[in-house]
Amino acid sequence: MALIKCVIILFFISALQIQAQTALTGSVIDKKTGQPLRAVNVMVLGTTRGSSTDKSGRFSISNLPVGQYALRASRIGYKQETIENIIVRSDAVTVIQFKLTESALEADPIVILAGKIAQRLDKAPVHISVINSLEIARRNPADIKQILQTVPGVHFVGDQINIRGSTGFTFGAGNKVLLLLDGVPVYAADTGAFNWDMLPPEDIEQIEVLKGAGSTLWGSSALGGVVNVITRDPDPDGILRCSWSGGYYDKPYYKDWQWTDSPRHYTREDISYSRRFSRFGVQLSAGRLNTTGYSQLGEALKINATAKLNYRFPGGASIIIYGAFSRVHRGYFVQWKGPNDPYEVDESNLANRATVHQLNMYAKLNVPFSAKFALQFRASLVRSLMGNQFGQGVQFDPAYGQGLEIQATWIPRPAHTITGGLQFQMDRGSTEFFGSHRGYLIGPYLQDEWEIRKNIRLTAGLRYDRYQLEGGLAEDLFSPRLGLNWELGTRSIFRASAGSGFRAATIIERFLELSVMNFNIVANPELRAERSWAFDMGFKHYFSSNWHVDVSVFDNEYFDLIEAHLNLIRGQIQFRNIDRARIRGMELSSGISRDYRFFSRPFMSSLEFGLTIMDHEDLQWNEPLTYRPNKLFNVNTALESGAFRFEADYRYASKIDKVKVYPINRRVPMHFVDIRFQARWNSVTFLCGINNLLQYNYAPMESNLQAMRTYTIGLKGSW
Amino acid sequence: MLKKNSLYVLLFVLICITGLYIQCNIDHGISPLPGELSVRIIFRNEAPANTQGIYLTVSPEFPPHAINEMFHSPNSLPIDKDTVWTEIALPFGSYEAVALWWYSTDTESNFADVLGLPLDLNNNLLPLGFTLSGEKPQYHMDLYVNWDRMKRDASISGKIQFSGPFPDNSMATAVAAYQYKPSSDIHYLLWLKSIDFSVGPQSPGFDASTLTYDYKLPVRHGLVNYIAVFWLPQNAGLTDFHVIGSYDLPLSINTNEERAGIDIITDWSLINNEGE
Repeated sequence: MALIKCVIILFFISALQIQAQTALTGSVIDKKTGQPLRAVNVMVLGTTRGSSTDKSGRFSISNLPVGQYALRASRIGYKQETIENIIVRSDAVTVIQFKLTESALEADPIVILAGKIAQRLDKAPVHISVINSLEIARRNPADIKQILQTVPGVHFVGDQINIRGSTGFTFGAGNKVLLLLDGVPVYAADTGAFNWDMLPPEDIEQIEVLKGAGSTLWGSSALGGVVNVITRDPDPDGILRCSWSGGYYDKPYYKDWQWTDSPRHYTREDISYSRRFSRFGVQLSAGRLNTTGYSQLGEALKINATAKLNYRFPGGASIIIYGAFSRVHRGYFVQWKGPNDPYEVDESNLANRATVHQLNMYAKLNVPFSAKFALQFRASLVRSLMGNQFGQGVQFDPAYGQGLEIQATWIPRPAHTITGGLQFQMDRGSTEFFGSHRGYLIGPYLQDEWEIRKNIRLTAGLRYDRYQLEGGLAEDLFSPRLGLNWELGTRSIFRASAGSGFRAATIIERFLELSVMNFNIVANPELRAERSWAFDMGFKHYFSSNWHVDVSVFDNEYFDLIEAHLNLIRGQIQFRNIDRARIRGMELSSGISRDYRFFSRPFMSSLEFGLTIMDHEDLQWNEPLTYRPNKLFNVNTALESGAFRFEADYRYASKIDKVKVYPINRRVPMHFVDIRFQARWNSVTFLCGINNLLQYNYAPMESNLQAMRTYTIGLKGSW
Repeated sequence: MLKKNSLYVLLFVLICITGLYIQCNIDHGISPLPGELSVRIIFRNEAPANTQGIYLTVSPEFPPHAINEMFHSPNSLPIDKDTVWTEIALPFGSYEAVALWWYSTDTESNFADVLGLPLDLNNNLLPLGFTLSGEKPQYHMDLYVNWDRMKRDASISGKIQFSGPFPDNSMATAVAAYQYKPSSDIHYLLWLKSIDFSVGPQSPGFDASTLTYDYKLPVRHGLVNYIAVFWLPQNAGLTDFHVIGSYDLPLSINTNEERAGIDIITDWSLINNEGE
């Protein structure tokens, strides 16, 4: 209660203080057409201030102290521009105009994962990949997973995301990657599992993927990487978005595998409305996915509803309240009936269906006391109900994850940006399978980004976390980080970072006791938190504004890595710590685009690829870690002319070296080719495509084939 | 100018075609298994009441390194019939053993729960193997099974005295009864009557003050010529067991008899001596 009072007092003080300052206005237009550009982000560099343009391309930033600033404008699909030496006076309104040039590649978008503040990607000391809303829309995805699997270094095994081989496969319990929704953790409090259906893909503005440990700022679970899903803000002029998409699964490649005559398909419908009314903004959306699946137990009905409300106070403070609800009723395909019936399950598993609910809510209050100091308060709730997918008569109760955080951003001198805060998290869950448990985590953190010279930035941060399991073990964890970003001339950037990460074991990993398919899962209450040290060194070079190459070498050292241990003598599964493990390798990515005319018609083509080569080892037993490929490669090529666009993707993962349950089953590398076509007509976009064009049969974990060739179609409109 | 621009379009088309060409010339990933073993199982007597299910398993190597290195039928075979026909799809290759694995409703499954294992009379009574190839993609086998083998109607009990604390790298410790004293690694699996892996410092029967464990091993009545205590280190395979103690006087156990007082003294130093 005292904390809430303090927040209110601080907020009013800030509101009064800020009203006494000045203004900066301007507009943004398309350089080629001269048309105003809406939804352009405009940031005042070296401050906590920014704005976005309305449908007339205008923006306004008030209450800046008198001084000299640099202003940057960025928008998806355009090259960003920075205007320096802008003088803001107390007796005049400063007016600026940006002229942005269209671009197929977005080289350095604004990200927040690197420092918990908005900054340009090329200024970050760590490796981050970004997918923007335009790319998401072009892919016509059914869920967030389909978007992420095209990021270099990212690979999925089942529903578990691997960033540079971080997680492997742990039967859905515990991810070594932290999933954030607008910077707020959204894992299930009992299992640590992610709900990739938590919101419709249409609601997403941008997805950032941090590769390597990120616990210094983001806390537990940021062991092998962080994924931040950023939702759209209310539109300044009001926008209604509707989309329909459908897919038809082809017959299996081998006739022997055909298991049904009924067609297998899915449809997805989404609608959203977004509008800013003066100081108040609202974004509402609802979606529904209905699928028969491509295999037995593949049927699912998924329903989403989200609401985002924000209000900007006169002094510059703002409050955001967000809620996302999803309900998924689906079957659980645990393993195939046999290698010659890979789309069927054993008759005894046909009842493996469950309903999963998840509610994510957060409230954020941003209070900018000045252009140099801002506070942010955050309260969050994740309520998840894991369904009873084991076909056993046991009651499941909802799990609750509650979080509180206060974060300060302070720019004491132009060369220093200090971010500090305190995070509290409480997770609780109970079922008959693992009893009733609570865990608490409290962690203060501090990071300074120091611009030593105009082209050199040094980042140093430290976090301390205390994890306490009610009536059980307590752990103290320190997560330091050091980073360097060095611009070598105007075309090259060198970056290096060393950071620590940790993840406290989830309730399910410690306490689950269950019999599944002749295996007994045995509890391990003494399971320790897993920790990592991630070293990353990278070099990015811009050969031109349309061609960049990025190369990284990385070494992730793991301590007490938590893996599912299979006791093959006794038929038991238990989560255990592996004393030492290591994943190291290199990553190469590049993007090139080109504009030209062909038979008097304008064309834009682009090619992007990513190659990740990894060596992973369990240093305790000197053997490969399970469920991790050694090589990942993906390439995306696109050709666009006017309203038409054609894209082709190829995704490759080398054969997984080692699996746990059925090493005797044949394993193959992954080869997927997807093609897409898009046509725009005013506000309407038509999409069609074929996923897994060449009917490749791939099982990332044993006995679980991915989808066969799938024909997709979509219609999207915005008004 | 036209030539330069054409080059980009050509390059794009070439990339697409090359991708398609490469894909068309490799396989389509996982494919159906081409071989098949068909088995006729002929049962004698009736299934024990604590039968959860029975699975056909085929092992490329015998003894297998681990129980998951065997192919097995996806679901339990019927347990209420005199004769059952079943098939299992397999890759081409040689297989050294076929077995019928029994799962109990009340105990952990282990490799003493082999209900049927056809032996080769022409090959020192080693398990009967077979080969599948393009020329001979199918193989048939008859498997004779006596349900009574799993009816463990008697028991042996006693104390196991440990010579010191359990090593840090312990994965499992077990007590096992044999009809004959094994003379080779394979015999440790073939002649196994019963085994219990619940021996250990975490088990209720363990007394930490005296380092003793009270065991009770269910067995089928008849002759028991050898009882052994095994220890397995972490990451061990099925045949990486170390004998740390034994009882090798013959015992004749009657139906429903509970033979008590069969104490076994173990010695941890035997683990190290084996490697010397």
